[in-house]
Amino acid sequence: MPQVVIRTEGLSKTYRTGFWKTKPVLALDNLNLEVFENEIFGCLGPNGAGKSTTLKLLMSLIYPTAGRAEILGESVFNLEARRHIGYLPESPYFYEYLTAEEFLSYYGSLFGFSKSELKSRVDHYLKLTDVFHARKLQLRKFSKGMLQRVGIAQAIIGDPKVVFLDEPMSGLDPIGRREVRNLILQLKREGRTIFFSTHILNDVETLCDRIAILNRGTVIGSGTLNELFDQEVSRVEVVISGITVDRLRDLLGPETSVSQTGCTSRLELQAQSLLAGIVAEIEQASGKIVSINPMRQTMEDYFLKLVGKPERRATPRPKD
Amino acid sequence: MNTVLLMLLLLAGTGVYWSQKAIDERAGQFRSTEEVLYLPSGKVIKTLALGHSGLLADVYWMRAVQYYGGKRLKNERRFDLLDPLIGIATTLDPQLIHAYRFGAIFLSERSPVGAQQPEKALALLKQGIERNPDEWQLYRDLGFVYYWYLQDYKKGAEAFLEGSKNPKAAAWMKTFAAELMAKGGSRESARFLWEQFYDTADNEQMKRNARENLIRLQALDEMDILRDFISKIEARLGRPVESIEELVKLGLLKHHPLDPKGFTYIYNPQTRCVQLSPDSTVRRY
Amino acid sequence: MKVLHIARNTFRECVRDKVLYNLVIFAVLIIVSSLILGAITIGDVKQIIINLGLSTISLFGTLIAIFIGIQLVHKEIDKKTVYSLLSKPVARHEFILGKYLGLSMTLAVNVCVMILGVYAAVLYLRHSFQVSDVQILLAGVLILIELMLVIAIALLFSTFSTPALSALFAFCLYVIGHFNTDIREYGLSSDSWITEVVASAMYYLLPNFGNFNIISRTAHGQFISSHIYFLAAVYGLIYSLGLLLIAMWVFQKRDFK
Repeated sequence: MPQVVIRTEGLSKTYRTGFWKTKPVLALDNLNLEVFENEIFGCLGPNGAGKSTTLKLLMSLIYPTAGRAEILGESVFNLEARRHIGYLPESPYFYEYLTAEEFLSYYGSLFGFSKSELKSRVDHYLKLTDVFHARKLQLRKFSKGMLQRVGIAQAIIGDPKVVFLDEPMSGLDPIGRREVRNLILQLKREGRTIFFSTHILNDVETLCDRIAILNRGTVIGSGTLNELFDQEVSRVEVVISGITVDRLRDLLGPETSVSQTGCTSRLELQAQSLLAGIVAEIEQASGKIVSINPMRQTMEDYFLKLVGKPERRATPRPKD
Repeated sequence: MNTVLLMLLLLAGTGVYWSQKAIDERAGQFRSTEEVLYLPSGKVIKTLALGHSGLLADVYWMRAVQYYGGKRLKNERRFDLLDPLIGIATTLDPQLIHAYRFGAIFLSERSPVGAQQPEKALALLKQGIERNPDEWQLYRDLGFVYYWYLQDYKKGAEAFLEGSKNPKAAAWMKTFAAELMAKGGSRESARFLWEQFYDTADNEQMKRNARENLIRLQALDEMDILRDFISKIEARLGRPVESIEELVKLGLLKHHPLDPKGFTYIYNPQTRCVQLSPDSTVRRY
Repeated sequence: MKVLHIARNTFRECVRDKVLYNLVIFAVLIIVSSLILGAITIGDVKQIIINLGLSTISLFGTLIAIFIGIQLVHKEIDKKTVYSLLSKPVARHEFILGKYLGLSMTLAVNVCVMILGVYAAVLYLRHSFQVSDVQILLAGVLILIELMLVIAIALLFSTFSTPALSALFAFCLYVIGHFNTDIREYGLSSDSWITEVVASAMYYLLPNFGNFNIISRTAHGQFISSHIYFLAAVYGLIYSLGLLLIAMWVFQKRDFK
């Protein structure tokens, strides 16, 4: 039975806004989460869903209006428990007048390491995040990608068991994103637990073991990707050349879902079972089958359906 | 955590209160005014005040009033800071008329009521007149200092006359000048002037001082009446009177006359003068 | 100790702040110019140097204390560096203490430098020192304690208010604090007991900066009683401590949105 590393029970946060602080705004409502050891857990949701609020509650930067949260079996307010966690805030800004080395030394010193231990840790994590070459450079001169990597370095300098990342990929170019993604996978290989929040679906798909989807302060879905939406092949896409769309409609019926793309026609079938019959008809009409592609429901479809926006047309997925 | 903070805060609060009190006890209540001894002249302060000289003038004026009032309460007999304080206040705000008046009175009054430095009062008033030539009341005050405190009737008359030239001046200024010239003033005029001061005083100390002086004048009048009465009785009896009690015993007086502060008058048969009781709090000068 | 690490970093932050340098250089210039002033004035030049020098240290020190102090906490919250810092095993009150100590250390160094400047000017003038000159150093220490109180005020406001408002409040308190004795004297001689009670309450509650003012006396070469000196120092330190406690409480309670 895997250990529960992060647990929340009924965690809620209501902000009081307005001039007289009387207007309540519900940021998070009754969050019940469990994150297991050594998994990558994604917290997904549109902007304003409550992801940052969740993270800040977990980091005891804000106080809950109800409920509680525990990390590694200790209350989040426990100071000593923070030895084993690391946190990278969203769009971080670090002390621009410090060099990378000074910065990491400063944060590292808050753990109470000895001087030599601190030095070796600082060097190690600078190298790991590939900013060692810029260690004597003031942080004000760092690019966004470098800053993000320094941010991860400060998050893991204490050798934490649990790492919290708030939108770690935001604002990065594809190279930066890949670097961060590799770092996250590396952290998992080292046995750590990672909890990160994002609104980028692709990151979740490629990295996460389990996810929770938040919208307007409540959890609207959680579990593994497989549990969440049916990845069964349901629909099939057939690309045909040599027959016009109108001709296909004549052949298969006016309700057929078909469109023209360049010099090919694209046909969408609701069930794989229909495939055999159609193929025969097309060949009889002197059409040529260019490709047959199974379509899985994508994460995007599921997500958009959940948060209530109109579903877009399913896009084909490459065959595995 | 909260309770610890609160306890520490209470402790800190007590500490602050206690140490402040201790400083006050040792350094004296008027250390802010004693600083004046070390301050540069009013002109320097005015430059440093950066346009807030009016406000600072009020502060120094207030300090002067507190200094005077405070010292009096503790029966201290030195007023050396009174002149510098008022000097600075009036340099910062030359139109602080009531400062000139206040200074004039309390610089002139004899110890222990005032600084007993009428010359300083004169200097202050002359400065005030120079800066505010239209204020006829400053001439009145100047004349009064000459007359009452320095007994210089000539200069006093000149001041009253000068002041009377101002069309806004009160009518009696001219008549008083003439009276001073002629017979060196009278108790009536003195009473009139002190009543003036009492009516136009704008703070408690000035009012109190004027009242004390009026009471003295009243006592002087009463003593004169008593003396006359005693002389008449002596003429009737054909022998000297020993004391006022005698007159009461004889039924010539209904009860022992009291001075305005409620103390008995004493008759001294050797000097043949009616005097104030040694316990009396009526002013003697 | 974590507090010392935070203090050291705050010190580093202040030292690398250009504003600080400008103010310090300006102050040193004024001290030097006091020598020139002395040459063209009649009267005791040494008195002028000490007066001007110590007043400059007090004034510029206050400016530094306020302008850096109001940023101390606010900047970290605004730029969100406080997020990553508080996720480390460090308590919120340790953060406040560390910031306070860091700026205090910075000002201590500044005051030292400027006192040395005053001593240098005196030396240049008189070519020797007198026993009473040690009073300059003592005055400097008391000025530093006064500055530490100003820092505490600025820091407290920094925990919950914007820099603009903090500067305003801190400056107002500073000015009121200098007229505190007058407020009390006014209350004492007033006839209304309400005025007296209110004035007394204000006297004890609000900071009394008059306690630290021995500049004039020092310039005249007069010694101040060691009792009073000690009491003034205690007053300043305890008051600062009280303000820090409140700042810690405010900081502890707040949400960092």
